[in-house]
Amino acid sequence: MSDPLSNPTINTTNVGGQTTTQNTIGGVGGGKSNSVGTPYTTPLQTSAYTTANSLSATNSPIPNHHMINSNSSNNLSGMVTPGGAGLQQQQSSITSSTNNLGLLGQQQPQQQQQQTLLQPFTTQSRLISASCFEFFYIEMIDCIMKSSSDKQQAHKKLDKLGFKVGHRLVERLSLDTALFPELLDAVKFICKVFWTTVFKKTIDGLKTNHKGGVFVLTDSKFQWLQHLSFDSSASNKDCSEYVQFTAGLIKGAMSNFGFKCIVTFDIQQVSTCVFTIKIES
Amino acid sequence: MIYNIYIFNKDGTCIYYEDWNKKKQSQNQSEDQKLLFGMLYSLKAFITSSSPKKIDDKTGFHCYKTSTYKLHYYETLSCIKFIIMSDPNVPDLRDDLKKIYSQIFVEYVIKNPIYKHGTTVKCDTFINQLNLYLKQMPSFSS
Repeated sequence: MSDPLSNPTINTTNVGGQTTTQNTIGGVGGGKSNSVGTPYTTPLQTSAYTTANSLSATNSPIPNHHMINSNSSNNLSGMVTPGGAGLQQQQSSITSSTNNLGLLGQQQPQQQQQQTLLQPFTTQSRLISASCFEFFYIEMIDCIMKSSSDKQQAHKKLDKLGFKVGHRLVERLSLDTALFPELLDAVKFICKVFWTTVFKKTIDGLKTNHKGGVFVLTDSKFQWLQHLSFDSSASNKDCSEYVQFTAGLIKGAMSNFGFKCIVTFDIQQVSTCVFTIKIES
Repeated sequence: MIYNIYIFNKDGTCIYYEDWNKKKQSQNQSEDQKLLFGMLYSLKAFITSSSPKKIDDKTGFHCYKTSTYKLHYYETLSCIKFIIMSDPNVPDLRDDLKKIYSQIFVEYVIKNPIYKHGTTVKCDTFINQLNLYLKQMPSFSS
């Protein structure tokens, strides 16, 4: 009974050209064809699509759902390789059990089981990645500081790294966002969606000059300085290298929106950061 | 009333010490710390070998009491030891030591990029947070 249904799905996933045609026949399948198309049409998502493809081959009943999830997981893997590997394994085991349960029942109960089982995984992955990333970040900065001839070179490297990450991340985050009518909306996106994804909170303050070319973003509890603390006797209390990467993130994100800019930052009292974005015209 | 706190790492080095409300002053603090670590090491080994039942987290060594003070003990899986000395009437502080480890030590020492593993803890934030936590406990000063 289930075999005839699963085979066409596999073919649909593997052969890109036939996706829309075959999915249109079935009501449920038709509804999911959009999600199949979206990742594939974005060049940066190619590797994610490949991963999704292999997963859907194993768990054929609802391949589209896995693909969406795989994108998210793949995104994390890019930042945290060891953690990502663990996530992939967890994901596989969860979907496998879902698949087994699905074979025993009808189509609808199958989907319900799917959603129920995937929920805790999502929550877990966020908690895991937050802590893993913080430790990775500490080691990354330590490594770059040691391998650079001077502080300025280290800051350039961090800025460049941040630029690349920000550029890719914003592509991922803006999948479902409508076009921005003006510059201010792009900056608001950075303050809300982008900041929430990276730091789990929104920017606390946004100011702009009357011309609109300069924006000042204030984060009063900057996530990556929350745990940083010097000895009371320390003579050098410069921790700007722990913020430079973030300036690069903002720069890369704005660049991908089409706005070239210069981002500077100022660390005020403990863990308060002010980022200044100047648009180049 | 709480007199002092020690934190030892797995090598037996005291990475943090602070005292409050203490009446008798120490002659040689470094020597006292080594003595305390050695005693606790032996005491733990003795309890393990002499216990008629199997030792687990709940029945393992976690405090002892004398006529003048009580010592509370918590050891993590990574062999970091948290010790608080208090007056004999203070109730069990095991849960508080766990909170000190998970919510203060891990957050403000382990996650601090400035801190070098195995060295003495001198982070301002950790010291402030630890003092805040201990001083809000009902048994700190009474």
